Amino acid sequence: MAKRISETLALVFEREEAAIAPVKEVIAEPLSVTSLTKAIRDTLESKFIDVTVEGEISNFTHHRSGHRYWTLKDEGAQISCVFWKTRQLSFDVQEGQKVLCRGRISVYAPRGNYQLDVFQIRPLGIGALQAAYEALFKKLSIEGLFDESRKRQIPRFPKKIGIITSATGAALHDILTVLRRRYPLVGVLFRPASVQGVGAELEIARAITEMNLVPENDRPDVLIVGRGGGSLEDLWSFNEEAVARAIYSSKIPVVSAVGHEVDVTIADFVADLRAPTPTAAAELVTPDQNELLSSLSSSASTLDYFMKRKLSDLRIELLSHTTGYGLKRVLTQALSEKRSNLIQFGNTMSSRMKHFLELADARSQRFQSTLNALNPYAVLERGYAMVQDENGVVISKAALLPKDKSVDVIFNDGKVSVRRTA
Amino acid sequence: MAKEKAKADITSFESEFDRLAKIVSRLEEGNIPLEEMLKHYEEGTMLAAKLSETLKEAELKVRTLSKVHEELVSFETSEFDEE
Repeated sequence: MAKRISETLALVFEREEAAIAPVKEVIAEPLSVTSLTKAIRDTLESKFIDVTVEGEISNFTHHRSGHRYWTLKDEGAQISCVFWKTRQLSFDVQEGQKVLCRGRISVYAPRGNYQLDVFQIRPLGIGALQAAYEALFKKLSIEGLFDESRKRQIPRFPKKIGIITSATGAALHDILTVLRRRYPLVGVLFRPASVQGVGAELEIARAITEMNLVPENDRPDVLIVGRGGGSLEDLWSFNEEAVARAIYSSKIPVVSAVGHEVDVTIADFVADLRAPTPTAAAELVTPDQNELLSSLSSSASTLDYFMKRKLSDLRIELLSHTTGYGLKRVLTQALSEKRSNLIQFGNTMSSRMKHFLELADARSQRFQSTLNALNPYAVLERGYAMVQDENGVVISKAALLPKDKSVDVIFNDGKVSVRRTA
Repeated sequence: MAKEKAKADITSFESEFDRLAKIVSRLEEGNIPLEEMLKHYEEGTMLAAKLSETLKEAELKVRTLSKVHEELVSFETSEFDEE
């Protein structure tokens, strides 16, 4: 991991010489110091654009300008380092401490020297890491970054999950496998980021910030930030202040998913939800589609059940209406109406009938007296007699009186059978 | 078109799922007039069917937010500041 600074630089200079040598032969003109320095600068700065160097801190100075300077050295060489004031030191740097510095080489022409422009520094060794961890934990804890009260709710049905992890690690594959199985309805926005090495914390932090800047209609509503298991050094980025701060300021809830067994990273404490592994994180943020499907089908059967029950209740109610009080009441009412109609009708009828009968009576009396007047028997009372043949047919003319046959002569008080003799 | 549909599905999944739960509990409460009940029943069964369909048809869509290819950390442009 550690580069022998002296060896590497020596190599570069050799190459430089080889490149310059033929030029010297063709052009006799000497180089100006400026142009030589510029050539050196171009070579060094393009070659060492991003290096991680291991060494011991010496002559650490925190200048009043805010910048920090030190010398990084090992047994064979040393190099000047600068750490600009705009950068965050995440631990207390000790004289003689072993560290990893990541940065680039820059050449300062006016002084003709080169140095390591450090953008991130990390303590080396378990003891130092532990101390840094504890110091940062205390600091952030006092600031309230771990407060339970500020933890945001993870959506029950996330629409889009943002994943921040290495593009090459197993974590991404593990997460996607779970999502496909449990809740393929969700959208995934993957933001690759280095999750190992000095400075990876800055990349993770930036990724979190970028996710928050995605236009709202595309922005994830939960973030999974993590990586698979590894050594304390491997996971160290998740113990860095930059990651903690980024999680803290994320508007999107963050689930930490750093695969490790014993220790809990600083990121885990700040995150809204901590998952022990990337797989577990994916499970924690999604509903299980099989559970959802069975819940849906049980909802449908509950609906069926209650609908059927309601209908059967109604049927029973209807039946009780037809046999019970309800119908009786309806019928009674109808009957009483009819009855009163009937009574009224009856009354009308009887009075009409009475009138009719009276009329009829009067007429019949008149008929009676007329009949009396016309009654032949009444005439007989006055001394007349009536002749009938044997069949009871009245013989009203003498010429019709048969010979040798008896006829009846009817008087008022009886009849006499007589026979014509002449 | 299909993409839009899927998007609409995911946006409304939660609210429709909750709506269904609400309908079910309303029916469980009882004491609703038949007409209202029929309306709820119709809506509820429609939602249950639709949501199941949505789940069964879903396919995980993964997009990558491309890494911004500027330098990892913006280096200061200032020259050395040694005093």
